[in-house]
Amino acid sequence: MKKTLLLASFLLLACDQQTTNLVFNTQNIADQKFLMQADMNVFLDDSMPQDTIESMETSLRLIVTSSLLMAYDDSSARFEIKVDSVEYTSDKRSVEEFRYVEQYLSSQNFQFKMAKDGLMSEPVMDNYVAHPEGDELEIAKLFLKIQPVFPGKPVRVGESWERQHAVTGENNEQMVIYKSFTLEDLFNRSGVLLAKIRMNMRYKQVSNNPQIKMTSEDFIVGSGFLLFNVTMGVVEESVLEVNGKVNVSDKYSEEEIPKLRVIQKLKLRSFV
Amino acid sequence: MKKSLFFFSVLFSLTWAEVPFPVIESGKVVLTEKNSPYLLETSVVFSGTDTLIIEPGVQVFMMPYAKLLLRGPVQILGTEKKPVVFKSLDTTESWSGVHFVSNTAPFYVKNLVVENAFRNSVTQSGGVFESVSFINNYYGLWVNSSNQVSLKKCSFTRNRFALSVGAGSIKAESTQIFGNVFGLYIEKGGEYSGNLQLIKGNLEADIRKETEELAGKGKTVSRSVWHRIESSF
Repeated sequence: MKKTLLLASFLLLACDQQTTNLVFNTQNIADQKFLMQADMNVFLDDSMPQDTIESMETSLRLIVTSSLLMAYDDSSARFEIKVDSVEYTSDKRSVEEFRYVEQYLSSQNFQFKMAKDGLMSEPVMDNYVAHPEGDELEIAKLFLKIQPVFPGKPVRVGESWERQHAVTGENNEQMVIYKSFTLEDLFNRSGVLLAKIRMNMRYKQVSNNPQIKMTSEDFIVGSGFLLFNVTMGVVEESVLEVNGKVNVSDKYSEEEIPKLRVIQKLKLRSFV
Repeated sequence: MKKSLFFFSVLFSLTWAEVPFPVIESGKVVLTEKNSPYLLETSVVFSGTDTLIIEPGVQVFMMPYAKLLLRGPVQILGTEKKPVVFKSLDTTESWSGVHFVSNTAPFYVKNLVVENAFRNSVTQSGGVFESVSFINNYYGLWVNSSNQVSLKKCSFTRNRFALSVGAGSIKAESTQIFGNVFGLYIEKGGEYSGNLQLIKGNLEADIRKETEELAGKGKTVSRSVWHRIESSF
């Protein structure tokens, strides 16, 4: 009888250790620095020989500081992302254009509201005026893609959950991003409890800027993982690879460019 | 002696101090020669109902992040003797540029000098540039999605890409494009009507056509489309 009770309490304890409540610290978090890397490869998806395929490769590397501006009573908070440094390259732009892109991205500080489950809303860029052509990059988009959203209740190792959030495009197009997560592991590292979470996402591309319309017939899909610091309530590291086919039509030249394959690799790493 | 020097230095700094670019009040900004020079530090957006009027002789110095986005009526009224000047405060650095998106009313720009910008553009707008000089910009003027743009007696010198015409058309009259790295660039869907003899003496090329360049390389997707794919994804 004693042995059974001991075994039961041990199992209960073990089970409890494998369950956690994943929440962001939205109340008293200190400033946090992140490295964000976004690499993109786009190419015409046809059966041409490799050396003649039209393609574009770009690379963006940012160091940003995230600051808590205001904590609200409902456990949400307003944060600000300030850009500390930018490095950008592309095989479709000149070096002078790299410097210009770096210059405007370095002024793209933005604010957003975040609930303790990670749901981001109301992204606003401070004092930034986008070019009317709609051909400038946006840092906030990258963060919205890679941001995890937690279930809002304790989860066990092996448990999965799904969340979705709407993104409003530059011309008020609505895109819904479906994200699913699985808590794969919980472990201690240097006295800090870390959660390893698998992340999958899918969405249909809808962009309608003044010159081009970009849509996807099938879902754009993404997969990756993140390490969440449960003790501190912050993301330590996150990796996401997004992959899909898009159709592009150039409105003014009335040119259709079907079946472009886009691969985007996003990496986020905390400096702490 | 010291007092005189101090007096002169104060007088000099007062004489040359830049006035901050005014805030848009009651839907109108008028820049006057009396208050010139002005300093624009960041970006200013004029909405479709905000009017910008600039008198002859006005100088506006631009900081690196300065961007002038004009969606409303624009009248820049320099004269031959007193042109209006937009240039960077520090000539070793470029500023973002002036952008005309005034599709509600045609713009009218006369005797303006635009220097050291990264890119000046006209998008979905119509209007007249008369005796306007684009000097030492990266993109002197980039006209896109616009069919009612006229250049009269304008000049483009020492720009990297002097004049680019995207989808749409430009009518040019007595407009010279010389001494740039690249002269006229006609993108897919763009048209330029004017005296091509006045486009000469540019270092790399006087006139380039994107469709011919793409065909020569066996390519189909234009640079601007690649850029938009990148920004939209």
